[in-house]
Amino acid sequence: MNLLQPFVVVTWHGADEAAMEPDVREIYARSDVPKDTNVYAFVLDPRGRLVHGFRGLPGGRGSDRSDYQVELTKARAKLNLADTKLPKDGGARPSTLPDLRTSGSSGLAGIRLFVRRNDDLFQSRIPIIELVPMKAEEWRKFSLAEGGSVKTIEAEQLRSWLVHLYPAGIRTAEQMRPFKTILGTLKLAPAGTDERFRYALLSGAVRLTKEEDVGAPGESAFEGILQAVLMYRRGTSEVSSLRGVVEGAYVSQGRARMELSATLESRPD
Amino acid sequence: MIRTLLMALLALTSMARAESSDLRAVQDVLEKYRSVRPVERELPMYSLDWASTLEEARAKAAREQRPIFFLIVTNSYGNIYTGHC
Repeated sequence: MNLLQPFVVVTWHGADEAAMEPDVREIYARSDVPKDTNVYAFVLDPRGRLVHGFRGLPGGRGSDRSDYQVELTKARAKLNLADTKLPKDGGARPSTLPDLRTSGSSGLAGIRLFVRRNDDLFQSRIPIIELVPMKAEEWRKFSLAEGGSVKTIEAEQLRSWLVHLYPAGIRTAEQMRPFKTILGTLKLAPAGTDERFRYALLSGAVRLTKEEDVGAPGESAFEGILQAVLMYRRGTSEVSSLRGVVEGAYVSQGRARMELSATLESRPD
Repeated sequence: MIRTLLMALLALTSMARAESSDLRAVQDVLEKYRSVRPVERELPMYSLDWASTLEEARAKAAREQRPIFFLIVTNSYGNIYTGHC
């Protein structure tokens, strides 16, 4: 990551060369990197000219993989950056995470999820960040008047959040065959007040499957518990902030079980 | 009269206890959220200077005389910026 600090970084994703915009295709086609994988890395000089390219899957082993340290050192030499010393902290900027912004009037723009496996296989603890934009009317299901009583929310109503509950590295497979059935009834219950907010707890079990027939053998599924705190400004019934966690397991094709956890947070703060 | 007052006090105490227990449950969930959410050192990728398009990256690189690192993913839905390869 340190070696990349001097660069402006950008990514493109799509099905194939035909889907690329002309400026992307020009770089891809001009490079002599063998087109036998699905991640490619290119280094361009400040004038946008291609100076180096390599297969983009990290890891030194395997013909479709590259050692980023080696390749970026080569690229830096071609750019005459080889002798440029990096500060010990890499000159790192403060993190800027993928985010959602409200358009126009105030209010919540949506939910940001961080999803990751709870084991260290294949660097799988590296989190995935998902953004789920939400319209004002989608927040209304969480409205809770002061003095209001417990209400229920079907997990299906949270589909846009829950469909992201799968491990890294299988997004294409997931998008081609997304979760179909979402089961569970969550309870939204008042949970006290303090000087700033009125609180409610949203909690319950959720189950996601790829088939209408729940528990179909060999199908991937996710099962877990969702817990979230919703905050309401005193005197209003509209939610002003949400923080939560989903913990559970993704069972891949009825076999491998992967423990997953995800955090949910409303944006902007 | 005294009995009514005692009953009212008892009810108020129970309500305060319930409220306090509810707020503890809120704190427990918030604590779990904080312990599960990745911290900045686990998200080094986002300390890089990301542009959203190649065009934007080129303009910035030219302006600031910096090189560009460009990743292309051709598996349809992979998106390195969100962590999907």
